[in-house]
Amino acid sequence: MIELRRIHRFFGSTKAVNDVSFEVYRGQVFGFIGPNGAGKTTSMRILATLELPSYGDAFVDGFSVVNDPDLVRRRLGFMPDGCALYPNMNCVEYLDFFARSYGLIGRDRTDALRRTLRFTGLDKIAAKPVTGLSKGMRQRLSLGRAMIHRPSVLILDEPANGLDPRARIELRHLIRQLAEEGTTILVSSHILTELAEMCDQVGIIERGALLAVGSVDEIHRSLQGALRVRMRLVDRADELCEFLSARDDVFRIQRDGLCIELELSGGDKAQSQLLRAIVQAGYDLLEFAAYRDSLEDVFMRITTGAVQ
Amino acid sequence: MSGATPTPMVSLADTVTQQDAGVAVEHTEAVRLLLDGESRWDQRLIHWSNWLNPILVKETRQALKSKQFIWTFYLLILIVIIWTLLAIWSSMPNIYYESDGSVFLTGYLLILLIPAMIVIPQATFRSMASELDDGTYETLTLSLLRPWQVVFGKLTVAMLQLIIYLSILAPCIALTYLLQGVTLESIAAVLLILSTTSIALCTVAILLASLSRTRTLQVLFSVIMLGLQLIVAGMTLSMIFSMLAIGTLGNQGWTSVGLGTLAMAAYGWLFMLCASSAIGMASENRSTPIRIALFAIGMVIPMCGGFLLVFYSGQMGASNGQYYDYGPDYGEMVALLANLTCVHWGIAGAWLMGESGVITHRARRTLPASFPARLFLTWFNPGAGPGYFFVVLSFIGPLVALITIPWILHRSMDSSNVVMHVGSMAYCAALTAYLALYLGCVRLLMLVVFRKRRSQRLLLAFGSTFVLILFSIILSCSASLYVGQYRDMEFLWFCFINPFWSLTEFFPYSYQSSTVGMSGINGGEKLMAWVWLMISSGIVFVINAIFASRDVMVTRIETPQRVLRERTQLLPEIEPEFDQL
Repeated sequence: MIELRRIHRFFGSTKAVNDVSFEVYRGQVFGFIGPNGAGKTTSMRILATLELPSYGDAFVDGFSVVNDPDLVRRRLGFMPDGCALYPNMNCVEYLDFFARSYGLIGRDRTDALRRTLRFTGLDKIAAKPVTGLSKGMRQRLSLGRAMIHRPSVLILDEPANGLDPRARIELRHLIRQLAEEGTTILVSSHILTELAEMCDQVGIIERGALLAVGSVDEIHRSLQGALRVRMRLVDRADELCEFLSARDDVFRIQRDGLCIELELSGGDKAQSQLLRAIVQAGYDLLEFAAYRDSLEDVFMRITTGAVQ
Repeated sequence: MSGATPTPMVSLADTVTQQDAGVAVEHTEAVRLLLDGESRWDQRLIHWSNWLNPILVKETRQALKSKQFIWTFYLLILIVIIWTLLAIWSSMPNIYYESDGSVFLTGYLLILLIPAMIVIPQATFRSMASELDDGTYETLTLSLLRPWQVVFGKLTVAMLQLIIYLSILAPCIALTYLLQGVTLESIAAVLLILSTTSIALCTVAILLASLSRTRTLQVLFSVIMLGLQLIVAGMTLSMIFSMLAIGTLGNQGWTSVGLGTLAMAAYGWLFMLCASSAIGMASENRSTPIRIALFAIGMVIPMCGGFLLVFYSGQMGASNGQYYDYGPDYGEMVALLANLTCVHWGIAGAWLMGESGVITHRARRTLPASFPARLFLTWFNPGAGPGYFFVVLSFIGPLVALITIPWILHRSMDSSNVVMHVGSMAYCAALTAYLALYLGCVRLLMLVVFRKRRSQRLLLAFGSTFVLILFSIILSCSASLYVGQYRDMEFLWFCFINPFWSLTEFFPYSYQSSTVGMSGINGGEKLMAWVWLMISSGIVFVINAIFASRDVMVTRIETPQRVLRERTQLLPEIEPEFDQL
């Protein structure tokens, strides 16, 4: 389990992270979204014990990153954005070094290495020098390094960077698979559609502050009126617009010919009440569809694009 | 491993479909060879390597593939062969009846000097600096490797390289002994000096590299390192030549070599501790282990000095027909030892004054708890406040012993010796006062002016000390020149702010003066300066004591039971694997 409690991180007068708090439970995938320079990487680095917070604390399985970073590191695998590699080593030597560094010896180490090489698909290029790897392969190696000691918490900073579409899809499945097996995962990415599909929760961060946190639906609901309704009529679209504008739960009505789009506050019940009211008022509907904002829409609505 | 989760076996592997079967088999074979070995010996070696420092294993693998090592290795063999053939050719036919061993050995040592003094320390510096520069150190940090394992791993790699280079030269050095002209004693001594100096340089390289967090610092330290290497190489070379010229070292020679090796080992250890602190966890108590090492060295210097003092004065006395003859030399030696100790504590103190006064919860768990422990060990607590008192008190302690013990032991004290001892005491008091004054001023400066500064505080404190002393020198000299109407520059009472000038004036013995008491603090302006020095340092000391009261009030906090439980559970699993250098 991960818990961030009122984390602040200042670099001079810049507030890289400003009062960020959230929790991720065992087996959950938490997506961290934000524009460049929003504070995602800093938050992740604090959680990975690479940086100290200026104020506040973060906990991994109940152990503080400030006071017990050694205990946190046992449980944590961190895949940073950009993989730093050692020259004059091949893939298996690289992973072997980190297996040794995590205290794996004998059979445990060889098992861990075989498992990781196979898992990341590096077993077929194991003897290749690491400096000659493509970006995608480097990402795999970095992922392998992060998970060689079977951590209970995995922090992945832009893991899909440089991966081809097929590898991305597989990575998504991998992350879900790891989560189902109990690994808590914190992942950041710019590819929001991917995050929406694999994350149980998302946190939207901008200028160091957490603007929204929860499942995509929860965030959607918290942004009042975010349920969009689209309808197509046989005729009398003008009259229906007037009819709808008189209602308190409807706003942002837009008309395009016989098509009307609007935003409706409330949930499914409000939707059915609206449909009933329209039909009872005698309007002939050809289509009536309600849909939620995508994660991209939510992101665009919440963030302003401001940088610090 | 706690928090373990089973990992799926099939996933991204399927995406590497473009690999043809042959290449895949080749790679699988490479994995098998690396993990399981081919022969029983391979398996044993792999098994033994479990207990080696992972850094040593990694760097050895890298070195065996690196061009730098391979080039140096083969070049060294080539040069050694060329020199051997050249030396034999030039010595023919006298080689059959003359002792030419020293000529050959000189050549071999000159050849060895380049890898030992230049290549290995530079490679060590680059290796450590590139970890920080390339970001690989962060991935290391995340593992369970402790900082001291990282730095000692780097040092063992340097030692391994040195052993390899020495092994190349071993048959040649054996040849020099067979050729005669050099004793085994000389060969052992020069190799010991060369090896310890090379390793000492590597410790400096690791320390400087661990401190160079920015590009600018890295370039600066790289230049400093290279300069230091050249100076040390030159000094070592001259020392080796003089030793070879003398032939046998004798007791004095071996004592000097032994003490030099001890000093290099002690400071090397300190540098390694500092380096591991520099790359360690920020919330850790990184100060106390360094202070313990500083304290130990601060005790060893006067002890070794005292030993030398007795040793040499004994020899000198024996030649005069008296064994313990505490003449004027004793005062001079005490003053010289005090100077050495003062340099040690001055440099250490200048760094310590940069320590932040904020003690993390993690560090507070390690503070002394009982009354006696708090009474005697509070000065080892992190922070500039306790650090100030730690430095001043640690300096005074051995000095008092050095002055009083022989004085008590000495039975027939004549009046000249009494004067000498008073002079020594006054001189040592002046040194203590300077330490208290300048470090106190730097501490106040850090406390008031640079209070909010969070990064590079240690470098800032060190730089501030340097600037403060420089400023005081310029000020005192200018003022003295002004009073002397730009013609004379006499030592006047206000020149007490200039430590170097004042200490030269206060020095209790002079080779020019045959009468004891003519030099040192003999009244007039010198006495005034001495008194002013005592007053001003006393004031600074008291102000610092007031400010430090808050720092010494910080108490220990208990480690949470859950953390203790976790550590106890992990201990048997981890310790055998990681208690390795």
